[in-house]
This record gives sequence, structure tokens and C-alpha cells, in this order.
Amino acid sequence: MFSTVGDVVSVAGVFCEGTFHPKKFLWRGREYIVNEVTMKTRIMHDGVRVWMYSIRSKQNLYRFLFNSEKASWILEEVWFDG
Amino acid sequence: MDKSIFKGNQQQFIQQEEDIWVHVDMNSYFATVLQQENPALRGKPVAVVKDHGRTCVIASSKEAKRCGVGTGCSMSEAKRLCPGIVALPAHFPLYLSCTQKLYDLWRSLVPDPEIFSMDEAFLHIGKCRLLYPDVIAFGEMIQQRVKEALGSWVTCNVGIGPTHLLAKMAGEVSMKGTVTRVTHATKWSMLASAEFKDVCGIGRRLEKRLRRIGVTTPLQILFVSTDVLKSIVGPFWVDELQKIAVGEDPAFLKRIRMDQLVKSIGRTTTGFSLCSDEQTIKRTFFNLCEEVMEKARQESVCGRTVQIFVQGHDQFWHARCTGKRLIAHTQELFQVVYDRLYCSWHRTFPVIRWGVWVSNIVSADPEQQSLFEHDQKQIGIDIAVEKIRKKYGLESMKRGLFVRSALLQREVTGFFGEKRYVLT
Repeated sequence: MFSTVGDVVSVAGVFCEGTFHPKKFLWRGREYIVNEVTMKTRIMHDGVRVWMYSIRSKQNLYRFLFNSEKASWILEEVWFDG
Repeated sequence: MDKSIFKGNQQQFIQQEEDIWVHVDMNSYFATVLQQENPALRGKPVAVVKDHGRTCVIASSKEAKRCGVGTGCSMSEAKRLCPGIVALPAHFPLYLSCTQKLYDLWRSLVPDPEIFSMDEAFLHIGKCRLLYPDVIAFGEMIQQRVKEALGSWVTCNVGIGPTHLLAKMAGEVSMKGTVTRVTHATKWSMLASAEFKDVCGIGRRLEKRLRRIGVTTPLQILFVSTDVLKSIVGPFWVDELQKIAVGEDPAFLKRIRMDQLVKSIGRTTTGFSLCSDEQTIKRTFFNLCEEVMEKARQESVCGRTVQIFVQGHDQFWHARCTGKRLIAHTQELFQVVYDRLYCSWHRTFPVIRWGVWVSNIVSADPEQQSLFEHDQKQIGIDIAVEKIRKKYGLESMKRGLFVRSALLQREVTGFFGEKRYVLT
């Protein structure tokens, strides 16, 4: 099930052909490798337009919100399988 | 060469070529998008509910459908039918973003795509037929491009036909993930065998009435006299059903263009429990009014008729009124909704569902200012609040009424009546 987190995180990635590709992120002092970006969408969150990256790291899914105006990353939700 | 024959043939050719509609229907859209997003859910039965704590299934994955779990099922029933089912809250912003991607894709393929609902669209390939000489190959290309846009787990049905109705029916009656074409020559067998659940516009009640006179397929309508049909379904439906019987587009399938003026703007919401608290009821109505006015401004329209309803456990109350002037701002709408309409109700039951509509709509010129200073001020406040919220979030600016409570999240309907409001 999804658990709401809402933590500010750091995300590292590469820019390729004008698109950002996340490669790893730092959450609560631990580094996680990005295995797959399953979806990248532009959504309205709380009335503000942000990018939502759905990222798979090992068996878990992480929903990140990236506010391009503030350049901030928020880990919004985490899916733990099982 | 005989020019007249050539001309005639060419005209016939163009006529034939112009009548090709492609209907694209995403398979189990809400559930499939969540499965695409989360690989752990792929292949598992998934039921989508509106929010955490809700119990009515609004969509289900193909795996769940195989177990008999469909829209409208309760979660307890879904668990009984399919013990391993996973219940997930809908993610409307995600669906909307995916629909926007699809809309961009349709626009890259044909000049005027018609968005029918969040997961359905009609593409007219008459004008660009030379680009797509093989329509079946075009359908397969659409399926491929959908996968590229949204992900490999997302599949769609493509129906091709000479009218909206036949294209949609072709998609509905065929297997999931297929491309099906029907022509004027082949439509009869489909019309003779299709069930009414696969025919757009014929709901359960109409189906039941038709069943009473032994009509179970669209083609059978042709064999019922107009008088008998009229006595069963009424005058409006006689014409519509007779069109459906021969595969022509009924009126409601012709009214889907994006450039038409909306007929009404409304918003409903359902609470989590029955509510008797006057402040909460007032707040909810204000919230709905704000959203309705925001949509109206976005559409550049104003209305004069206001309608509200409240619903309890199994009770319902509604009221409407038509004012002399157009509603210009949120405060004005709220005064009509709350002071004039809601306060006339005797509060005979606790409320769980609210609705506000504005109709009798005309297009409004955004440049035209009100002569009344108070109205100008209020409109200015509404616009400023919208701008601030757009930049800093919905909760960044609230009326005093909402100091200790959250605002309702903006949402879109599955049928997507407000497509212009959200897709532009």
C-alpha cells in the first residue's frame, strides 16, 4: 500500500536531450538507486503544477514531486509491496 | 476521358473516404494506469476507489473484471468475488496528465480529435486519408503510439467505422486490445448481434423498456412500428433509436465538439459521513461555489440559473432559482446558493452529498467590466485568489470561513464534461 511521506529529498540524475533522468536519491540519510522511471507526468498538486516522477527502486515504488519553480523535490508517497 | 464520370467517381471516392471514424477506448483506464505506474500491481486484480476509506469501486483492472468485479461493486463484494484484490484510491491528477498526453498524441495524428471522455476519443481520418491508406494499420499504429506515450502495460481498443456510433460499437464488441473495422456493408451483422450494453446512449432503463417489447438488439428496432416505439420510449427516443438501428449517429454523439458552449457548470462532492454541522455544510457550499465560478471564468461564461441539491442516506432535496442578472462572482453565487436556496430548506436529514450548478449560460466577455464597484471588487478578489493559488497552492489563500479546515481538492469527472477547462 501507499504510505504518505512528504519529506524533502535530494535527487541526482543526468540531463539527456533536454530531459532529466533521475539516477539515485537520498532519503533519511540513505541512498537509493533508481531502477526504473515507470511514469513521468505533469500534474496539479495542491493547485500547483508540478512534475510527478514515479520511480521504482528495487521492489518499492516512490512518488516524487518536483516543483520546477522552487527546484524542490518532495517524496510524496512510497509503495511497499506486501 | 469522360470528365463527368471522372468527377462523379472522384466525388464518390471522397465521400467514401471522408466517412471514416476511428474510436480509441483505453482498456480499464484508471486501473491500468496505476498498474503501469507500479510494476508490483501488474497482473494483479486491482479495484480503484475514489479515495481512502471509500467502499464503492469506480474502476477495476482486467484481472479483477475476469472475477466479476466491475464498476459500482462494493469493496466487500469485490473481496468476496476476488479475495486477493488490491484496493487503491484513484489518482485523478495522474489520469488527467495521461489524458493530456493522449490528447497531444491524437492532435499529432489528425487535425480535429474529439475527446469523448477521459479515456475515449474519436479521430476523423477523412481529411488525412492519404497519410493513412490502410486504416487497420493506422489502428495498430495508434496502439503502438499509446504504449510509447503511456507505457507498455496500457492497451486500447480501436474501432473503425463510417459513423461515431459504429466505430464505438466496433470497439466495444471486439476483444480487448484489438483493432476492428466495420463498414456500411458489414454493419448489419453487428447491429443484429450487439447487446444494448455495447451501444452508446442506451442505458439500463431504456434497455429494460425495449426488452418488454422483445427488442434485444439494435437492428430489431427497425421492425417495431413508430407508434409502438413512441408509446414505450417517448417521442425523443423514437428518432434516436431509429438512427441507432441503422448505425447512424444519434444526437448525443454529435454534440461532442470542443468548440460548443457548455450548457451548465457544476460540481458535486460526497462527504465521508452524514453531516448535520451547519458550519461544515456552509463551508462545503462555499467551496463548491468557488470551484464553479473558477470554471465559469476559465470558460468565459456566466449563468443566471442556480441549482443546488443535498442528499442524505436515502433522502434528497433540491432547489433552483433564476435571477434577473448574470452571476458575476463567488460571493454572489454563494448568496444565492446558501441564503436564498439552502436556507429555505427545513434541515430534515443530515447531509452526505452536495451539489451546485449554474445554467442558463451565455458567453461572457472577460474585458467587459461591471458598472457596480462592489462587483468589480469581488471579481478582482476572485481573480487574485485564483492567481495566488495557482502559484503557491490551493491552501495558500483561504477565506476566514476555512481557517481551521481544508479545502476540497479540484477534480475532474470521468465523463470529462469539462474537457476544455482542464485540457487547454
